[in-house]
Amino acid sequence: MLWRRCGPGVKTKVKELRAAAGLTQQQLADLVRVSARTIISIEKGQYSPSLMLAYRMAVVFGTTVEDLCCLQENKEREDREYEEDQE
Amino acid sequence: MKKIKSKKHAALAVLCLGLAGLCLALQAAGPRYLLSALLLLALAAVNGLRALARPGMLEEAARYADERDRLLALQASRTAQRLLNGLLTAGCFAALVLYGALRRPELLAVGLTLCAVLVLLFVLLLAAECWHERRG
Repeated sequence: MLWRRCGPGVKTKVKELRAAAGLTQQQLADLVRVSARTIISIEKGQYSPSLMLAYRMAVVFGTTVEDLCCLQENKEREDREYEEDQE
Repeated sequence: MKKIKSKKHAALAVLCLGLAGLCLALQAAGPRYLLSALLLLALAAVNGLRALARPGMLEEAARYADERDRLLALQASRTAQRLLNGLLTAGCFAALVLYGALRRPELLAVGLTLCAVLVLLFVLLLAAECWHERRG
């Protein structure tokens, strides 16, 4: 249970927004001051960005952190998993 | 006062100075202690100059690491620590079981040493957790 919660990253819209903005992964990485490998991991859902990194990306794409990180959707998923674990 | 750029080399310099002092205190016991003291003083000087001259490997790695690299380093450390714990525990049990079967004193020494290392690691882990708990 603990590992399932700590393991995979949150679902984000980074890939879609990056494609819409016409940026490569390296270009986005340079803009938000991380490595391209970090951007790749975020897009694959393997890594959750920190609050500041999420905010920097939201500013680049002209959106909000809630929209970028699909916070509502991720919250509902976590709530469902939590309830399943309690049963 | 120049800033210390490499903590590792600074620590090595201090350690060498301490050991050199110890050797100088023991020089009456033989000329080899005086030679060791001179070598240690030279090592301390070299490490001290390196500590002030350029950043060490760890400082350079930390400078270029992003948040994901730091997280991976933490996860890797935890995995390595768990593996080490497992290996030490298995080795300790194996040595004690073999001692029970073969009655060889070396096996008892190995088992007790591994046990002491396990206890020390546990105490260090507790201390580190308490320290981080207070800071966090």
